[in-house]
Amino acid sequence: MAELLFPHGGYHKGAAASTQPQNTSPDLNNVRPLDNLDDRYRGGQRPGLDRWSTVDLSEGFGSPVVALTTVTVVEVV
Amino acid sequence: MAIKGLMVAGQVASSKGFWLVDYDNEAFTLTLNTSYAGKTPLSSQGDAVCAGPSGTSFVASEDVVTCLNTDWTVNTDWATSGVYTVSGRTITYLVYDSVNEQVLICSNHATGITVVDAVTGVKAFDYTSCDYLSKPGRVPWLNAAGTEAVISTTPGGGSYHGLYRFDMSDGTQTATLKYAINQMHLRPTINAAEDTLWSTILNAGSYDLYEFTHPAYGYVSTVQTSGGNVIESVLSADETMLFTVATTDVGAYDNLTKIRVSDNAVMATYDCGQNTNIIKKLNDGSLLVTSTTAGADEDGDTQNIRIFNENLVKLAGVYTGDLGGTTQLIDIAESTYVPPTNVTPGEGIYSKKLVAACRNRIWYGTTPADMAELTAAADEIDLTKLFGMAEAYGKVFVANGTVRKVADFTNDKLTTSDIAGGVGIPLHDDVVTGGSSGAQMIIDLITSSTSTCTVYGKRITTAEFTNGETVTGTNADGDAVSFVIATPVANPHWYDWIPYANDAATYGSLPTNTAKVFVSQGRVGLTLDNLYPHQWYLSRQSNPWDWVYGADDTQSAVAGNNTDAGEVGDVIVDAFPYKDVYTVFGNASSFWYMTGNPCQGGLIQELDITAGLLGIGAWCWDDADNLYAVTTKGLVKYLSGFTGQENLTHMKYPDFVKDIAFDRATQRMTLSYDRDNNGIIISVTTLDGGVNTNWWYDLTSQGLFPESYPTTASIYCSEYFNADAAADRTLVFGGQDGNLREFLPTAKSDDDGAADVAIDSYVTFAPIPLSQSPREDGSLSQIDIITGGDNDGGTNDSDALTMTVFGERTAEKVIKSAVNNTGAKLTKVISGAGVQRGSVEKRRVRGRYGAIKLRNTTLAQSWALENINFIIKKAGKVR
Repeated sequence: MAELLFPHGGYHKGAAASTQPQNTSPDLNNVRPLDNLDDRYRGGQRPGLDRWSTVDLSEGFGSPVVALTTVTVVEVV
Repeated sequence: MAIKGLMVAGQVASSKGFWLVDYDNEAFTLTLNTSYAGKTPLSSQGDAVCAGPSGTSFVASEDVVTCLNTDWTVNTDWATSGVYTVSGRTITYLVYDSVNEQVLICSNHATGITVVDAVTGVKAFDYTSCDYLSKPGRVPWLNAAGTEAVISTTPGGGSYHGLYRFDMSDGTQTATLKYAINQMHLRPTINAAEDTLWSTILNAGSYDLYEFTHPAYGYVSTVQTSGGNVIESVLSADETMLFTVATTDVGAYDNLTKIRVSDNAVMATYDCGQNTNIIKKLNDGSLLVTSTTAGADEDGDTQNIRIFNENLVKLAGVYTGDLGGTTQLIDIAESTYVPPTNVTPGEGIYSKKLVAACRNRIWYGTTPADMAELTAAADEIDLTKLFGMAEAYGKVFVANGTVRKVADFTNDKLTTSDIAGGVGIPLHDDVVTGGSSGAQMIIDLITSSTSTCTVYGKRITTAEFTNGETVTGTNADGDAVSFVIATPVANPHWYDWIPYANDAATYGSLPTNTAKVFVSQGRVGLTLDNLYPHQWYLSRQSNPWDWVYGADDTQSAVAGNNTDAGEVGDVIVDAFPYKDVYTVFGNASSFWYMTGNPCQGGLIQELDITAGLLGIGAWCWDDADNLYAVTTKGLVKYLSGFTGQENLTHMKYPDFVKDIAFDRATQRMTLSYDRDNNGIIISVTTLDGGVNTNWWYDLTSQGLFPESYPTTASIYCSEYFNADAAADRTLVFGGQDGNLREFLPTAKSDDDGAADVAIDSYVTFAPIPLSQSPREDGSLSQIDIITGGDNDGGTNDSDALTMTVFGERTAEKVIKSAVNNTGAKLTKVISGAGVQRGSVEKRRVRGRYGAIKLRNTTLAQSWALENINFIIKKAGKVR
């Protein structure tokens, strides 16, 4: 009985097809080593890309957000 | 050390008021706090202080009662803004009714007592049946149930004098006793369960509380009360002892007398040497006594506030000069005020705001829900052109070609029309003060050096500037600063990024056409100059308004480029700092970095002259100070301290850069370090339409994993937002459709703006050698897929997977078949989580190489893999 585990080494196409390195894959998409169902390093589907804010900055016009930064404001107490 | 506050109310001809005394009831030391001396004139008619609920106190001022909080400030929760007025009457005494939470306000008027709610200050009723409580009518008493009260009136006869009992619910009079009363006190019960009222009638006597009859016995002592002196205060020391305080003129009479109740024996005396007014029993059992003038007492001390133990041994004393004179002290109240010495301040002294640029507008917010537009910025930027912004000093500095702006989230904005020209203008970092408000600010920027001007500064006081006040200070040159302001405006503000005072002659000029802002060692920098693409510019240290290059000091503004001597520098693609150590310049065909202060021995060195940075934002740092950049030779990791480099794609994916085919004119590349999941997201997004190619580089396994997102959710920019609330902290991505997104572990689909869409996730295990001989086939069978979860319906259960198995004669062909999903030998749905009955695939797949592909393309589903088990057997010669 042979066993295979998730290819934690990720995508690899730098070697001969017949000598594909262990723990790598020539064909995968939207998967990561850390599964998002139970936070285990066993491989699985990536987490979904979801809204952080429900506020649409383009106000329905579909314009991209081109820059982000953080500003720190010190309060007077 | 237990410290409590005492409120001592005095009435001095020249300085009526109350005084606060701190005392340590362990060491019996008194410290006078005169902060409130003379601020609240008190009634001249009698006692006018009492302690209220929750540490509040009440102080009478002629005909006004003020409610004070534990910090000795006016309690504005009272319905009448912290005061209650009894018009036209002089208040003589206050009593707090703890049962009903009421204050009894006694006065020398026909409306003798007004009962007021102690919490709200709303009047309950007036008690009028006792007629006048003429001077010095005093000492109401409440029974334990709070249902009845007894008041006593003045000594000396008259129709109004005596004891009156009334119902506390409505003020109805229930009994009277016509005697001249000076003091009354509830005697402790020493034998029968009788509730007896001690009252003093000139000297002393005892009366039944409810019947007001039959004097049981009285204590009469000419020593204590002869010569017309009256008893001023009576106090129980314990169940069997009584203290009296009597007024005397000098030391001829004892002021304090301890009397045994059972036989009236005198147990102890003390001569205070002066008029003695009030005796109180403190919580620690000691006695607090006040006197008026500072005559010498038995110990030779001239004090007017003293603490005694129960045997009348003096423990401490303090003389308050403010209480001098011949008039009496009025009352003492022990406050429950506790000095806030052990109060640890909260840590909420700063807040983080996420700032975003979208559709020619600036947005900001502390939480996801409160993202709001900075309306002043609308259409003042042009996002069809290169745009850059960076945060420094509580502000966001913006470069957008010829437009340079500041979004200011920290400063106050003052406007004035009388800034003095020449000397006397406020300079950067000066501190100025509002003449009326007392507010202070550190000057940041002024927009003009004469007359009409806007002043931006960081306010450093909770007090705020007010309209019309004169703001003054002394500037760094030692000249006086003074200007009158209009109504201040709170932040945020949006204004031009200009030289200080808009004075280019003195403070230099900013470069005119740039698209990148960066911060280095306290300097705000600009680059991506369309005319001088090799050039970078740095402002004066700690002053983004000073652009005089080459000033004769180490903090001077400075400009430069990155090259060997005598050459024109490489075209800068991006510039980015790290901590206060490096500023890296990623150029078209080289990397350089600057260490140290460029005006004080700093160095510019080559980091890599074999590769250039592919695009703006094509870099990130990890938490170990390593720099990752997508370069012209691949994904490169520049080791911490720039001690070496490692090409992460050279072996795994030699065609990485070629296949990405990044075009700076039509695409944007963003590298984002995900500190929560320890990886890097490499995003390549086509500006028109959002078609994207992405990679997750896992720093734990050092593997590269391709990803794809909906075009509307494609990544244009990112920022790890270290928000105030833990739930809001995450790596935030700016999307093609104007939405802000995050990778949410619980999300099993992607959001495309209009709806959720399925994630097409798959992994291929290939090639699997099935035979050792090039001329023999093998077979793949008994394939058993174990997915994550234990099939109990929990959130960690995997959803179904589709398994496709391939078999071919060559490794390359089986990979190609799997990639293209062609020539599958068998397909099976692996339903449910964990080990499933019937999940073992018994059919065989023949070939020299096999491949197993697992896939899920269903909305709102996700999966994890434990392992795959299978059997390989010989299948005979290749036919």
